[in-house]
Amino acid sequence: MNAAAEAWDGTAALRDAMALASLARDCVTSGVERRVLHVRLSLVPARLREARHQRLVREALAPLLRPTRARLYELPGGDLVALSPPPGEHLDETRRALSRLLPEIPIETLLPVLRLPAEAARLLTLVEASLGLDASMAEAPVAVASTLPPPTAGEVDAALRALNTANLASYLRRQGIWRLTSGTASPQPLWTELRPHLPDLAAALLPGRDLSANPALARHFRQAAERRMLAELAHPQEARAMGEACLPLSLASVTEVEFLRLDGLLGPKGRGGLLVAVSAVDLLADPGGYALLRRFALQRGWTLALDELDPSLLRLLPAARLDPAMLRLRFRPDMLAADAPSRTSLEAALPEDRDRVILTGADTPAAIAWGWQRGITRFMGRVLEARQP
Amino acid sequence: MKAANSEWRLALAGMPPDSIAVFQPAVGPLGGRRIARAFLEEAAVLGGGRVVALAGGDLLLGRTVAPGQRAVQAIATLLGHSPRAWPLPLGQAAVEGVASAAEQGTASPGWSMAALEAHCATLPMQRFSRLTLFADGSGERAVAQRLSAAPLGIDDVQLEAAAQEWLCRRLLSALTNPAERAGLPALRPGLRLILDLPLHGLGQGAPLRGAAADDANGPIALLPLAALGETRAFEQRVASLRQAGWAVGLLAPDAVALDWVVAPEFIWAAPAGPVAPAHLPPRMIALGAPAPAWCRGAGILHEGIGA
Repeated sequence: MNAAAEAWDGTAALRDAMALASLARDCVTSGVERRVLHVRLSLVPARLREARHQRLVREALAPLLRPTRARLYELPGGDLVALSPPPGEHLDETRRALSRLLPEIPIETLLPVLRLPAEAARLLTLVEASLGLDASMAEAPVAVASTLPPPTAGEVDAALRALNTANLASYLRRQGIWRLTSGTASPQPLWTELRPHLPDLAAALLPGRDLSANPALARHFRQAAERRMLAELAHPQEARAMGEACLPLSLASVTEVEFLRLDGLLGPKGRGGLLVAVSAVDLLADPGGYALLRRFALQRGWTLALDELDPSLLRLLPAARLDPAMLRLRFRPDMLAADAPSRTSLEAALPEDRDRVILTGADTPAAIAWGWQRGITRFMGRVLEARQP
Repeated sequence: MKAANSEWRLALAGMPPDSIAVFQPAVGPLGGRRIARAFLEEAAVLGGGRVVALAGGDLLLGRTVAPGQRAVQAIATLLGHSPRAWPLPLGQAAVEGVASAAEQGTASPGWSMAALEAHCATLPMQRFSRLTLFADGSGERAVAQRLSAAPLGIDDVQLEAAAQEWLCRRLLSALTNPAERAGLPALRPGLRLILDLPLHGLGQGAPLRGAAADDANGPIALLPLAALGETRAFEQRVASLRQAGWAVGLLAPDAVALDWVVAPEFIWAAPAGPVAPAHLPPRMIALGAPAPAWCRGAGILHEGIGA
């Protein structure tokens, strides 16, 4: 419950931050003046951040908010930002009151005042920092080299036989794909992604072996697991209960009998709610096969998504050329650190209709903010997942 | 299979008036064939009837015409060519002829990965290594030669790619190993070399030397298009190949990739269809003989010239 509440507050703060950023931009374009009081509660020691302290801070802010049309924004990380029209006597008064509450920190540090539109850039910088958009958290994940030996083809064959009788249920993972806009109160579910969790499955069926060390065998194993999952879904009752589902599949799995059976069982309505996501790497390995799937999807009424795109793959496969019905771009923190030319080229490669884009790996508010800045409103990731009961 | 034999004959003989037979031959990649069979099976469920799997193709004996015709349409849209269809019982003799022939055919062997790997390890070099010659633009004279592994003709795209990978490694190791080199076709002196490289690494052997970095006639290393999928490893390979004097090309298994993938800094090798791709790269190697007319343009190396 706690985690859920936190994630929820985080999303609300995210929305505030985005609203503040767009307001700062509006002030620049319209020339409207505002005074900004930044209450840097994130600097306050933890012992002074309990609920009663919070209440005192809010009370001190009240005289500012009530008589003027000032607005209060809460940023991720806990900072507050109050905006008020000039001249801003109330703002100065409130600032002194707040400073008396927290005398440990110098007023210039704790309670900086900014002027809009002159200092819009500074405000935007601090908003982006609160969102993690300043790339301070952009660290490349460290790949851990496995010391385990790769499996032999014979061992994989044996594991595949075991897979046919294994109970797959405990290895299936479900994760939501949500629509989340800066204007709406709560995320709306679009699809539920369903996939076999390969690391767990490999650990159970190939203990002491590093499957990833042999890409060809790893792909073979992955497809076998997908076919097992599809076989379980391809029963009338299961197919009826599937709902709006997203199945990430290897290109070859989509033409296997298990998928074709499911495709037949779903009927036109069921197929309309199905999203099949095939990785861009599979497209490169078999472009003719991908072209076949596009025609197949169009004929049958399900949606084919181009999956597992990163910025460099997306630039190679720009939407203007491929025109995918849907694409899934994987968010990585280092995308925050991209320079202006690479940002521009990435945005140029996205489909103009941003409803065709799903940002996966949205595990932090920064990912949502990054998406919103580009007009993306469909997400999958831990930030949203925490809400699910 | 034998039991199914007599069954389809009986079923065909017993088809009611105003029924339909559709035959989809077992040609082309496996994926498309499986979808086509699913379409035929759907027609059999909707309209009554059955689908018989024969070695040379799939036969729909449908008791009602409309679902069968819809399947024919759907397969034509999907694969670009229409399966043959006959009204029954009028076409009974024709169907019998086609189905009997299809029954005689041999189904393609299903390979396991392990069996295929063993096959590729022991296949004599002469059986798979091949040298193809290329002319430039409107010329008829050979200016380039490609050393590559001939496809095994496996209808499973992934298995064929895996076999290519293994055979390609054997060719490369033979190139750098004097004892094995005799098994390779003799390279022509003076012709620009086009050499297929495997998807992962170069395998064992001495580093292959190309030409001086600015030599426009330097050898071309062809990397499978799938190599683009691992961005960082790809960039490193391209850099080291170029440093060693190789021009770098991408080998696309289907020309549709030219329309989708934007990488004009590479030479593109792809099977040449009858119509030029909408987005022709500046430098291209058109594969397949005879070369269609559009391949006679500037900057295009094409096959189809005599030895």
